[in-house]
Amino acid sequence: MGNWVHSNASLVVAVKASRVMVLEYIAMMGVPFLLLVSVILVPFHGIQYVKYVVMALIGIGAIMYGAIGVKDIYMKGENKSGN
Amino acid sequence: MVTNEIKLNVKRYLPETGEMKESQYVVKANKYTTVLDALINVKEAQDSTLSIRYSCRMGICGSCGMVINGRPMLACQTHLLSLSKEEISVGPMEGHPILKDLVVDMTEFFDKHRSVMPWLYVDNEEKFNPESQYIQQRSELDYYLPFSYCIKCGLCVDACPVSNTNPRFLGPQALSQAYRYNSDSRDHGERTRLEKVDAFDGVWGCEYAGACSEVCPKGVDPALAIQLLKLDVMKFSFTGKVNDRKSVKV
Amino acid sequence: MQILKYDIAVLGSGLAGMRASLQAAHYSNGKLRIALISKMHAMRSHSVSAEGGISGVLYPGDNGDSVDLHGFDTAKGGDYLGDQDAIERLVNEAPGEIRFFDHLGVPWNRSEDGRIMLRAFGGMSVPRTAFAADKTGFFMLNALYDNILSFPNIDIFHEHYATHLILKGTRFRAFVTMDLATGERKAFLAKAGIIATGGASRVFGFTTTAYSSTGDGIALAYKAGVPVKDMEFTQFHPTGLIPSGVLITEAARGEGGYLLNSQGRRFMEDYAKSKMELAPRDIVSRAIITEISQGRGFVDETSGLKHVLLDIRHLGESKIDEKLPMIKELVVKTLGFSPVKEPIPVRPAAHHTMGGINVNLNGQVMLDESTAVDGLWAAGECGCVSVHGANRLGSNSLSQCVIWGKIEGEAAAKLAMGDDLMQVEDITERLDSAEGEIDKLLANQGTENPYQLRRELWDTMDEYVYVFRTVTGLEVARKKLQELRERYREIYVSDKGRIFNANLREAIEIGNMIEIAQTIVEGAINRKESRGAHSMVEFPTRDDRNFLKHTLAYRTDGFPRLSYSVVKITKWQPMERKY
Repeated sequence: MGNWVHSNASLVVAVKASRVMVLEYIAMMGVPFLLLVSVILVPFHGIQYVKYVVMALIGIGAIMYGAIGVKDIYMKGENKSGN
Repeated sequence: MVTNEIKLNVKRYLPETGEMKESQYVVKANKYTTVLDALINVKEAQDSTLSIRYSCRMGICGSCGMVINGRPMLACQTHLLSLSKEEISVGPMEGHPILKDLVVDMTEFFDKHRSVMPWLYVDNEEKFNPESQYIQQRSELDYYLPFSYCIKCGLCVDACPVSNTNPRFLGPQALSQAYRYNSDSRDHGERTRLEKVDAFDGVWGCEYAGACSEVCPKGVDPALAIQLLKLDVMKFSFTGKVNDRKSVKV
Repeated sequence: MQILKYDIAVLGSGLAGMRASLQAAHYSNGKLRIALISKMHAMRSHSVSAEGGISGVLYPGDNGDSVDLHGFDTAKGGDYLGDQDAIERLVNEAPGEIRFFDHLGVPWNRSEDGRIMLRAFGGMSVPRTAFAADKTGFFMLNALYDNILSFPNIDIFHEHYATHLILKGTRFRAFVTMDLATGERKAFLAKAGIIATGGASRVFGFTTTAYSSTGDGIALAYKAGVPVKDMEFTQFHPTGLIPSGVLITEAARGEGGYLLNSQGRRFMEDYAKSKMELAPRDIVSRAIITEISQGRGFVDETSGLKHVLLDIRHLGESKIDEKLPMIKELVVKTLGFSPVKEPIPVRPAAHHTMGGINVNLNGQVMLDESTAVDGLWAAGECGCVSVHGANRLGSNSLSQCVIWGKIEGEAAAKLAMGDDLMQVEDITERLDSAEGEIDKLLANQGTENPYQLRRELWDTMDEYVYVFRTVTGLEVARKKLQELRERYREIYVSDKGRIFNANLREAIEIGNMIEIAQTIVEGAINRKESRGAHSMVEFPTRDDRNFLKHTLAYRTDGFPRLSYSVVKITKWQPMERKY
């Protein structure tokens, strides 16, 4: 206790969390949106190429979101034991 | 005169042995009796070893935050009869380290508040020898006023699921105060504060459970403050710009 | 015992104490180490409960206002017992302090042009009270606390309860405290000390003040041999909310609220025709009690308390929400109805200690009329510079707290910058005996429950030392208090633990309260006149020939010993006080 202010200061300087979080937020909102788009695209034939791009984006987004999620859990777990 | 007998089950922490135990007291209550009145009555007449933190008994000093029937509340603002139960449970805020009985240690809580630099950034010479007052429009006042009601009672942190699982999280109280000072048209410290809270355990720790705003006895709405702060942080991080239009749109 | 050495030790974290710390920190440019010691969490001091506002002539000329008129109002409001050199200082410095708090971040209510708005207050000729809704004290205290955090040279000691003041001859040496969180005893040795622990209105049961306003600082000084001044003048605020005395701000009347008796009449026209509800508080309190005793009051069934009504319904909901939101909240939460719909039940409640530690114009503690204690000051409600005289005007207290906080913080800093830090050795014995006293109290095998003594103290004070006082009533109180003091020697502290032993702290507080109550009663019984808040049934008029003087009370083993000192009159000669 008491030295919380100092112990956290280094963390703030090292990582600008918003740069990571913006990805998480894009993935969080983008993936469901793209899923919706891909459903809408089902009846349209002949735009296979577009469908693949959407699918690929969904895949990247899901992996990204998952990765950040794992990191999130790892971080909190670490703090818990360190406290 | 309507007087009821109510059973108070008080969850106590005994620091000497490190155990939690529950004591039961029976108190008389009329329509004015608050949980705090009842506890003081217990301390006066039944068990003087019971430790409570209390002072103003009018909901402004922020001393008597505790968990009443499972909900974080101010004891002085909660009437026994309004709970409409014959048995009432009272316990300490377990989201903070407990010192004794219903009294918690708020050192860490205050440190987090301090870490967001909650003061107006104005040149000290100007601050201490002011020649004139600021001109502040009502629309500018309304912009930060709702967030300035914080009495630092600690109930929001007790309710916050993130604070309870991640002790490093700055917490709703500190973050809402960062937003309060950032939103004051007299302040010049936004950049410093935005950089400070732009951390995983800062503003991004918030998972938007909204429990803080549910329990705030002063209606501060820390959850809203944090989301607005997130927007400001994003904007500052990617454009380097801060919100310079600090007034409510009329 | 742990020994901590500081340049300045400030006892008390209300407006005065924090203002003093801040000024000292700024004045010394970060060089001095300052300890801010509070028996509570620093931001929870009772200043948070101040509601109405802070007085100061911000716009001279508007409505014909002037600094001089503020001074006159204050002197007249205090029934000419105030020291007028101090009053002049108050009114001259007040506007600057309001601007200072604007720079600290207080959300003042603003008029259309963006300037700080002013409201009318009791006893003030024109509106000159700056305010932040009806939470002015809360906002000012929190702004101060937040700014204190920006100074790394101020160390805040939350929940350290001071038990002893150590003087050596006429020199301040140390405060002995008890850290509640650990039970550890800590001595703060400092070159300069400032006592800013607030008033003692908790010696009354029905009071607007917090449970913590027990006047510990006044008692510390009193026990260390310093006299207390004018203690018989306790202000009763006319509008304490039924059932517990929670403050309903004077601003409710300043914004246009009425006081009504059971006949539905605005009875104040019989007592102060020109000012009506905005007469000074002593006059309004007497009017309410007179109405009640003549059978024109109401009785609250649950608490059995007699009261009158404060009606603010005609102000309208939007004005109440903008300017009196806390009053609305308090009434809704305490009584379960909205003051927009129904009038509020109120009766006079103990509110302010006009008297306090004997200090000079600069706030320096004085052992008698001429001997100052080197390095010790008292600021705020606990120090009697005697600005308020026999009755304080509403909103003058916040000005007094911050102005003398500033003056004393700066004076302490000047002294500390020139001085060397002194040694511990010569007071080791005193520190040991102080610790021994606490240990003895904790181990005392008596039979008296301290809370029972407190209950009897409250009942006595509420019954016999209230708005109107009689010679026989005061005699009863005097005997009762002496009995309580005897019984206090036999008290038993049930909690024997070290961690957060609030029982021990409250036991010491109760001892302090009994002794302070003695000074109130002793001063009152010997002031055979009615002046300001001190109103004797047998002596209904003011007696300038015999009693235009300050009471000084010294501690003895029996009843306090009294002497008197002169009142400084400069510009405003005493005249009849009529409103």
